[in-house]
Amino acid sequence: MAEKWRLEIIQGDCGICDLCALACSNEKFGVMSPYLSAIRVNHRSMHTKGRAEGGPGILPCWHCENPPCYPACPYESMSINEHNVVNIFLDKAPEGYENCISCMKCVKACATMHGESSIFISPHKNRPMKTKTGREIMKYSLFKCDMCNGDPACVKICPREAIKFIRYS
Amino acid sequence: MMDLIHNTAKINLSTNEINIYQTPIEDVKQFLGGRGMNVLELYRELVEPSQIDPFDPENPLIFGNGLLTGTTAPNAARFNVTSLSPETKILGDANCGGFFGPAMRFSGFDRLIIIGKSEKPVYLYLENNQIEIKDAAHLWGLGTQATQQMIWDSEGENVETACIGPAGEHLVRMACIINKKKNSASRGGLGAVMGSKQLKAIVARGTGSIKVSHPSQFMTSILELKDYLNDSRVVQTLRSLGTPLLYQPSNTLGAIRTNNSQVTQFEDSLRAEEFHKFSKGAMACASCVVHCRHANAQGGEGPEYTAVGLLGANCGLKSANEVIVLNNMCNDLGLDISSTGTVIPWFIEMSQKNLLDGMYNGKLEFGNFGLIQSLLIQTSYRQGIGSLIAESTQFLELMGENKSLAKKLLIATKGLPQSDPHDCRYIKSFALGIGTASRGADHLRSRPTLEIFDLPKKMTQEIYGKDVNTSPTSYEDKGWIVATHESIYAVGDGLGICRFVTHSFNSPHLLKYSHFRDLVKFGVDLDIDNFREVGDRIINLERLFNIKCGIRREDDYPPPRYMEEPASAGVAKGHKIEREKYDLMLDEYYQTRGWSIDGFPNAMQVEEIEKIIEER
Repeated sequence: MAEKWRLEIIQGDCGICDLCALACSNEKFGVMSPYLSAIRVNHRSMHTKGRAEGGPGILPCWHCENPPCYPACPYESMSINEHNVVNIFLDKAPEGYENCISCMKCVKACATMHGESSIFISPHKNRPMKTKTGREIMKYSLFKCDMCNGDPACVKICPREAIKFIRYS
Repeated sequence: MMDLIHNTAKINLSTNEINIYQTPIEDVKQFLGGRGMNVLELYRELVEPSQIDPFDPENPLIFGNGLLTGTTAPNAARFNVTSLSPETKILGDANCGGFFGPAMRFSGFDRLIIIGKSEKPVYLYLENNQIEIKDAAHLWGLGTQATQQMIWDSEGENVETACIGPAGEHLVRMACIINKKKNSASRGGLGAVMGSKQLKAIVARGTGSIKVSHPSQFMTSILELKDYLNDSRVVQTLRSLGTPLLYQPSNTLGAIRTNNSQVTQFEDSLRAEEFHKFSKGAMACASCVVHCRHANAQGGEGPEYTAVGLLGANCGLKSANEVIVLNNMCNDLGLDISSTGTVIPWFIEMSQKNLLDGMYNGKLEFGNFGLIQSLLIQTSYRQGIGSLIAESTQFLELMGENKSLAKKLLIATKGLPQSDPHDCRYIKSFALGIGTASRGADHLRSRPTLEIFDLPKKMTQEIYGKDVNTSPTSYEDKGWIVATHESIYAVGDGLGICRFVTHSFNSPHLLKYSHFRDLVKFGVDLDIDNFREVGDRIINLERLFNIKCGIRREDDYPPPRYMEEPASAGVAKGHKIEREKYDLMLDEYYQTRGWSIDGFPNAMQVEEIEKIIEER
């Protein structure tokens, strides 16, 4: 059986520099933004409570051994690979799958398990919907950490080695 | 539109007019961004700076991001705030790290030029290329920490704020602008300019994004630079102890400003290890690879070396705990620690020498923690003697016959209290750097301290481009050395990159012009051949602005005390700055810059700048 992958965060070594988030958004979407990243920093909790007490200061995808998000998807918009990494199709979904239309079921499943979801809104729009005033708009799809095919950008850029790439079986 | 170059906004708080336009690319090529672009805008806005009061509504307050701020470039977190300074009445320019700069960038803005004065307290709200002026009545009167908490409560979690505290509201001439716990745009009292406009805060919702021109090349270069910088010894040391580590070497040298520089050595109780006991771990600004800033057990962040020296030794306080408490208070009240820690000791000495007679009849003393605490509060609210201290160096203008005596005790150049707690009587290039710094006595404009490391000759030749005399007590070649440092730091400020990773700031193993060139090429698709020229251009323009404010050669000298009284202790004992030799050093500096013997930029330099100004 292939090895499984996950990330481990050493919260005490993280200095909240946002580099992981910027490298992630650059890798995923070719832009730099802490809010288009699959790994997030909660600046307010860091600020008010301090790093150690601030709860999940850095919020990555935990890559659960039994991920609750994957079975929660009512459409065929998620896949799970041999490394136990769940991926969401934003566009170009292969045959038999469909692009995410942002039903939020995976977000709820993730938040139920971890208190805060690590699945976020992407800049891609897939789902046409009508607003209350009858205007037709496109709804954004969701995205999550896909481990950059085993070479995560966040791990590479962290200057303090606070994000570890773990292989296990 | 080029990648990374977005909007400039001109905001008139008197009329509520907001004009948003694309940041002019031609100017970016000449001045990059941050400090460079800010001084260009200030020069354009204020044709006759000597004719207006810094608190006049027409005085522009400019917030400008560095060209690379917000990207993954090492330590690219910084923005500059620029205005006519109420503390010095010349160029006021303060640089700040933290998270506000990137958030402002992600909200779509490179630069804000704020003029006018609001009728009631307001704050600016930036989101998605738009600006809104919002009521700040509920925030007026709050400290910087409560202000940010209230803004988080009303605007949500994902905003960053740059705000003033009570000091800025009461027009204290050494008020600063704060983001988070201690990131501050401190120097020159620009918080008071913000207060004079009734602008309590600027809030940026940084949920947008920016794009570099060549993402994969940019990231490859970033990963290489990360490893290169992580190997640097100064980066490793800063990460473990932070800037307080500088206290011990300065103190051993006999160069710690103590009791208003009457003596030059203080207790060991303020060494970095004592502060480390209160550390809750090293934190970072955005995109930082150094992580030098320590959270403290008393709920704040810091102190930095400046606070250790100036709130500690210079006020005669021995306890690390007391220094941390004062440090946190200054940040909450919104006071510039560099100026506060210079001006309060100056007042103490003046009081002891009876120079305040008729204006203040009490007695102030060094080493009294409770007294310093109450002076911080009185100053921020302009109560009692605080109303005099709040005038900072401008207090001289209120003095009668004692003015010249008082001036001799003041550790300031061009009206700006010296920032670094390092006494400059021993290292001559340091004294020259304090003298020539464009915003007044400030170490972050040059800090030429490589000499004390006794580096191999080959290395100093590489750094300075020629063979230079690196003896710290020699007066030779120091003009060349200071100019070399000044120019690369001006470029760093233009790019928004922190001093701690800029070549020659305490180490040669940091980012050089060649690294900057790659970052700008892959980041913005701009090919700049000669960064040194850009740095020189920024400094020439700052000089021209200062000349308009009345700055002349005689203003480029270090504080009188450094020239008249020898250092009292340590290796530096007996050393002072010899005026005649300083004269020669200054001549050499002007010559290196291509300026006249009176310190005026030459005709070609003036013409170059005038052409840029006229072209838009």
